[in-house]
Amino acid sequence: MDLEDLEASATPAEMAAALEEHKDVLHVLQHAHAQEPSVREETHRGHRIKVVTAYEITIDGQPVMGHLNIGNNGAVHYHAIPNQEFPSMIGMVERIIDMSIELGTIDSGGDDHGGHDHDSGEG
Amino acid sequence: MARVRRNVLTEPASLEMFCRGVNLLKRDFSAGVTTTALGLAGMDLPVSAFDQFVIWHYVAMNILTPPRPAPNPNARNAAHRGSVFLPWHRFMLLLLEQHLQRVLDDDAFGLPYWDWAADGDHQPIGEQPGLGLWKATAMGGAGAPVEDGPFGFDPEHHEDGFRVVFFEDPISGVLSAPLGHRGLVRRLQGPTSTFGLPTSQQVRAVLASQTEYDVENWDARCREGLRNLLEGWIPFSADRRPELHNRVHVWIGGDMDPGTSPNDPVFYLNHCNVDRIWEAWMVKHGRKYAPDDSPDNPLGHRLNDQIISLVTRRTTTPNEMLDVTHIYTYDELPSA
Repeated sequence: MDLEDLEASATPAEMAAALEEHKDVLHVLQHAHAQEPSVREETHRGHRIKVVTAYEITIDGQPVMGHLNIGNNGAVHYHAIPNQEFPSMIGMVERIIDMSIELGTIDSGGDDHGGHDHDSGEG
Repeated sequence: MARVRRNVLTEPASLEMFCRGVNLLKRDFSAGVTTTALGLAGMDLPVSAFDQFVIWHYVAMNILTPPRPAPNPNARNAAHRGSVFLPWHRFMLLLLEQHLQRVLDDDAFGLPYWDWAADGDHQPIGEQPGLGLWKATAMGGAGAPVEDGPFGFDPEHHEDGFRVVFFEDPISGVLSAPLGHRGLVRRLQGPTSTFGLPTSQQVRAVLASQTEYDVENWDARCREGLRNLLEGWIPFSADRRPELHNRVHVWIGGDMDPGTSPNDPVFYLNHCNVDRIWEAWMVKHGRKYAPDDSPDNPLGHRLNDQIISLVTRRTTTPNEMLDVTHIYTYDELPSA
């Protein structure tokens, strides 16, 4: 990429055209996805292991819909908390609640003490 | 001549231009993009140039590599948790920087970086949220919403403030519009966090210890490699504490937490510093990348796989992003 190329790539017209060019990927904006099972596969001493894990998670009855994955090391990663993994599922859901309170999508339920220290992984 | 990226805390002109440029981009609707063009039901809003970058990042996070229904226990996506993490964000920063030049009408402008490791060395860690970046004269401080600084928001005068238009709802995982008008949310370490920002010793250790860019399985499980260390998935502590890049996101919190983290302009200062550390590593170890183009390696993360953007039709590859020193340089690189 040279400088002229970069300059030509950064115009308002390009911003509009890019959405038209790549509209096939915009479907991810449309709706929530159903929670899918997490599939872990490994080979041990020549034998194939497959672990399928399905979770049904709700907060006050509202389903947690972001992509959820459990790594082969057991750590949990939730798509809407992209920069963290968690050693426990409950700790992860508590973090979802804390984030939702911070961002104003749910109320604090009368507890305004800032939640737990999920950064250090309790739960 | 290549533009120079400078330290946001020691170069007041870079700070001032960045903040002014971001606020101009936030009000730049010249592309004519609307939520209808994005296919977002129930809304009919113009989308600013700044917010189109937010959407690009969120969409990339939702493109899993490999895609479902293939087993994907390690949840690589088109921009994170895999080898493409560093070149993908370099491409994003280049385009954001170029748009800032456009609205500032200044072809010498270089995106500033925040050397968060310098702040991470500050003791006691409880004082770190009070350091220079978070002053009203810089990026403003913590708040829900952030009220001071160039990206402050006053609910009484919301038309004038820095508004969050889209964000990822943590429960549904869906791109959402806030109920009513709201500004940025920042936690800055939070009342119960026990860790501070990453330290310069951690950065030196990464630069000194890692001779490979990335290693199999090219995901968040890798125990070695610059990419996974710098992204912040290792070392694997029992409590899964985030490190380096990840820690900066979590430490700031609020709008820096979900996949819409580019809502907070600090996102770009963080990633510019991550890019600077990558550049320092390449100066020391060579401009090399892995994985190669073998079909056994994950699509979307290989040397010549296409990186697409939602702000330009121009695509790039990791290979093309390895050497861009003809476009920009850094005033100072961290040493091992």
